Amino acid sequence: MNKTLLIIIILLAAFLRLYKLGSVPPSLYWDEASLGYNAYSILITARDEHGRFLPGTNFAAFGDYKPPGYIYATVPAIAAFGLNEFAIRFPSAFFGTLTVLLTYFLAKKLFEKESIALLATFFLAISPWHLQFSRGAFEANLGLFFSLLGIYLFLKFATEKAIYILPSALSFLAAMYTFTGQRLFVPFILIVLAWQFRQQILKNIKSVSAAILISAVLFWPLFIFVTQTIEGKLRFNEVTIFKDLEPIDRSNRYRERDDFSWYSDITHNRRFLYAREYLIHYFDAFEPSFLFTKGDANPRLSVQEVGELYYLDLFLILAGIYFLIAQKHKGAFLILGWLLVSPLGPATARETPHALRMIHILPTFQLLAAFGLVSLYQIIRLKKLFLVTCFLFLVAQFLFYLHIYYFHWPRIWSNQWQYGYKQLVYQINNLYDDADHIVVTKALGRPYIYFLLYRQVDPRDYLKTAKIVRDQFFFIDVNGFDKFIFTGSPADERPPGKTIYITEGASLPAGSQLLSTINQLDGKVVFRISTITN
Amino acid sequence: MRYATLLILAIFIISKDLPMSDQCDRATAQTALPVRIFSETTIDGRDQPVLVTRFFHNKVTIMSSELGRCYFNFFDLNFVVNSASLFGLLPWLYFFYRIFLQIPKYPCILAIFIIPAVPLFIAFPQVAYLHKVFAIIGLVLWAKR
Repeated sequence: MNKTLLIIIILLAAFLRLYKLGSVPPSLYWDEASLGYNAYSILITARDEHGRFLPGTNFAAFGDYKPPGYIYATVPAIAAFGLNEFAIRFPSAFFGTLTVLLTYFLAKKLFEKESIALLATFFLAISPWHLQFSRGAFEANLGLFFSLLGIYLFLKFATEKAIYILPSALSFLAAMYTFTGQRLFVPFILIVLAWQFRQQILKNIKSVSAAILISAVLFWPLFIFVTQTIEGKLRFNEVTIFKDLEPIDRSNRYRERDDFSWYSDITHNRRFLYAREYLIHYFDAFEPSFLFTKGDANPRLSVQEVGELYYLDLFLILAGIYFLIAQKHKGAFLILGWLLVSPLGPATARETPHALRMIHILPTFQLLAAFGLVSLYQIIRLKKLFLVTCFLFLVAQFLFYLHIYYFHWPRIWSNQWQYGYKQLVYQINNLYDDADHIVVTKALGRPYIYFLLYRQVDPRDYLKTAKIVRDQFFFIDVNGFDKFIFTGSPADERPPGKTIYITEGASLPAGSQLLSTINQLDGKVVFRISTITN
Repeated sequence: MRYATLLILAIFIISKDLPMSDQCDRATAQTALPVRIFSETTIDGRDQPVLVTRFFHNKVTIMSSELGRCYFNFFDLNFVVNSASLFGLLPWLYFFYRIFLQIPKYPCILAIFIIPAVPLFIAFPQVAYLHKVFAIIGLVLWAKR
């Protein structure tokens, strides 16, 4: 019976993650396109889009130096399904489903109760937070799988055999090689695990030392890249609040107002202001509107009308926390520690709360909710009524979420997914042979990657004609390749011969003849295709 | 010394300026109602059965979602800090810890969850005062520990 239930939940999880995977979200976001094209490039040339042989620590891509994990995981999917949306998103959906299964084993290990394990698995299977990231090519989702595997194997090391410490360490390493956010999570969760299982670590110090040594060797290249190179520090410096000069400015103003008195140096110390900023960002992680009503403010990261968790979760999570502490449960330290350390890394960033950067907090909420539900069930009198009410409430909100996800969200927010590029490339393919030049606006960002992806351009051919530039922020941009010219102001480009112009919105180059338009899913025009013969 | 420290903390909590928060109650929810119903049913209108549209986008669900937003905002930790200061956060948490774990009186717990909902229906603009009250009670409970 339990096995059958587990299989049903996993099948449900797989269905929810794979159904219409190629068309909802409505199109490939530029990061997804970049991951996909780099994986394609690795598949056919063993080099990335810039010609680097099998990169180990990073893929330069747009100059954002993406971690390599997701790209390598996408290579087999592209080999199997071709270079398309489904293949690019498949690793995320596949490992997302495995994460649901892993939650079952983790919950069973922590609570030693089948009902809690099955409920936690079910809650993660239908979680809006996890579904959102399992249905897009998000490195964070693959990173979550690896860190969860690391935690589970660590528990196996602590409760079963010492040998599990090595695969656990390797899983944590894989997480850090897959998603940058994991680099600020893994050290903290390791502290929590090490503290909880300090006796087991001391008892198996030889195995632990060997695992640390092997991990250190494997981690070294990444460590050097992240700490010793400008490219490695770039992303952190770009998003961190600690590079923000506003608190220093504020501190100076306050101190000036107090005539730079000694007490002002203390009360308006810039370090206090930074600490306050950090705390605000930390508390944001538990913002109720983020968790329960609206979700992440970024429309790519949530559907905007449902929180990251369901309403029912609030009561179940609170109950779970209550019973964990009240019963002095052995899993309390790990689960609550995990919950509290998860926002420590993301809180250093300007945009908070951030569902993507904080995804490693999953599945703590689901574990707590499952434990809360089972504990409440045991003490409540009207058990059947309680279960039926919870079930109906959850199903109603889940159906509402699905309705919003499949019918409202793609239409309202297709622009957030750079909708229109695929349709554009397919139209241009029909005009390509007759044109001498094709001038494309950069207004929607990084058009070159979509032309490479949807035209399946051989990376070796692309590199022969690519005009690659690097700006002062180290971002890499492409101004053209082959017949294509990418520019911020297409109207200023007047190459000889027949030229196709792709412009954004209402603007058309003077004297051009409109050929067609491409609309977003909400009906707004996104691209206009026109032509001039000079 | 202990009482002096608690007194200083209480002064910090009481003297903290109340945050300027946007109005969020039954009136604002009612204002949002026609706009949301129109926009949501318009999107559904293209290819959804009427029954589905009625089930998901009706006055009850939209009102509860709008009021839910207002209600949940009350428990935002940053709102607590802005209302009762950073020094008030610890006694605020201690208050909840005591109420839930050490003296779990269900009427008290129920009251704590119901009280923040009252301003949604009755004009009571300074809902932030409640956080000061919770924090001060937390301090008193700490002092009596």
